[in-house]
Amino acid sequence: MSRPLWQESAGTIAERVESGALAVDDVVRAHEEVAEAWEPHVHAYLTRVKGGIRPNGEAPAKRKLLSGVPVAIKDNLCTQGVATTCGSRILEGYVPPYDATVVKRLKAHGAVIVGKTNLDEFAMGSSTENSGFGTSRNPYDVTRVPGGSSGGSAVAVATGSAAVALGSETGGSVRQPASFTNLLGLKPTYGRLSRYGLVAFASSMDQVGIFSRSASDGARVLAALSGHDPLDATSLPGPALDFDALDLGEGAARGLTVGVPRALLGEGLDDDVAEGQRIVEAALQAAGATVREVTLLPPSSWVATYYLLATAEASSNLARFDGVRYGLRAPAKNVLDLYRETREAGFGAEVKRRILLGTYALSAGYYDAYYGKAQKARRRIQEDLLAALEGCDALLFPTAPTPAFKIGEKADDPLAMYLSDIFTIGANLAGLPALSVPAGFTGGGLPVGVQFTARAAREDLLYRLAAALEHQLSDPLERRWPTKPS
Amino acid sequence: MATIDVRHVALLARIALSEAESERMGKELAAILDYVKTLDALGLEDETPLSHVHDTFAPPRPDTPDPASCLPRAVVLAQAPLADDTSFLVPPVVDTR
Repeated sequence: MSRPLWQESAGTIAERVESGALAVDDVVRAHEEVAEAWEPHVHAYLTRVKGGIRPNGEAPAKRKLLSGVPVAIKDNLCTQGVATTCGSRILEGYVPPYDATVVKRLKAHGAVIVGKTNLDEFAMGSSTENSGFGTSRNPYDVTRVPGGSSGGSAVAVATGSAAVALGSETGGSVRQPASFTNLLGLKPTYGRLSRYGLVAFASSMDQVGIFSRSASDGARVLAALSGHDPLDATSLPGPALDFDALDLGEGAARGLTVGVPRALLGEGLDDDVAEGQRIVEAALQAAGATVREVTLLPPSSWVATYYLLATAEASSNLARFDGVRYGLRAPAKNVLDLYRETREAGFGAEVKRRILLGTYALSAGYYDAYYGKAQKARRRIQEDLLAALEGCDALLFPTAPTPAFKIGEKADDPLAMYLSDIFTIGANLAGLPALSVPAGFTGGGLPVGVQFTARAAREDLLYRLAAALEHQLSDPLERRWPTKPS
Repeated sequence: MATIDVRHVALLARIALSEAESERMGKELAAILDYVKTLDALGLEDETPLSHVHDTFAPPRPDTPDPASCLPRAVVLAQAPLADDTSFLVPPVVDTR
């Protein structure tokens, strides 16, 4: 069946461009028209590049997987010659002199980068309300948040102004917005995708992530971008995901075992999210998978551990923004005041809050009580998740406890905002791959999502499970698109 | 509830917080630190800290100079708010007034 170009899968676009049946200019124009129609309502982008950033002299990949595919990328990934703000006033006007490795690899695979997307400042937040350049809106209800921090990338793919998008995760910043916008969102294994050129927030957890509308498109992007990068000392050795060897057919989940931590599905879980979980469990069984119960530590321990470790690392990483080498500079009479006034003027409230918390957790007299204890908790949490995965191929539980919340609803309560990431943080602490998949809609038309978590480097299992759900529940090409407000 | 000397922490963090911000941050950080106490229930005294999630990483690349992969000085200095031909420029490090 023929459909508008902006509704096509990345796979179809790539194959038709590669065969000469489709012109890249036509693909780009179709997606730009969608962006122009939606942007006044959703504010997905901080920078749009007319005609897109095209491959420019990069050595092409042996088998190009993304020829002509329009990709949106989060504005904390460096793009040579194109502004990169991290959603922060402190980096306003910064133009990186180099490309992130994932950007280079997108170009080598023939992708077209259509723009840089909005985010919570320095990826710190769960709604994009912490962006220094305005809040993005959820296309399924523009009075609600799209999730965050990679909210702009989610909106771009959900509305069809990009076929796929890159975000980044430190504590759920791809999976949570994916669940709020009817998308798949992958947080790969720590080290699976290069962090070179990803502006650092918490280096022991940061990881580039992938938004897609289907399992096949997500796996295609992962295959194009993965593989060892000598420029990132934490990059995993080993080859890229082999896209052609991946079985995403109807039998993709046959024989797999999925563990469900029932205790997580209790108090505080929205009824529609719980229903999404039930539907997915039933669909997996119908697809030939086995569902069994597992136990996990309470995820409140994940949140507590995360907000000590991530803030400690952030307080160190963000020390580089001091008004000397790039970005904003406040007037000052001496160098100490230069640092203090620049950072006061350039950072938003949430970034300051996290830098202060992290500084406190690392300071003399408090290090053992906070940072040291959190590192011990991290070990316990990783062992707990790996123990739950013994005898299972993946774990299954909701991505977020609720569907998208109203803009402003949690803006004045940092702890309430942090708790919207309660189910996603475990995978980041443990370095495991996790994939949020669509799990239907609420009665009010808001998407909900559930996520799979697997052992390290087993993203193939995640996409197989997601593909099996597509065969059982809904064809991603017949997705429920958001309706543009009049 | 925990109390934090926000002004001292802000000095360590090199942020010139306003009075109003200091007061508000103090309350918010105390609420977060109270929540963090949930970790006490895990009994972590004998646990080994974890700082890297994987046991092994790729071997380090050779420690040899690679001038071709370095950015030219002029390109780097062009991003600075204030620079001359060779250096970033800053106000006095030692205040001599």
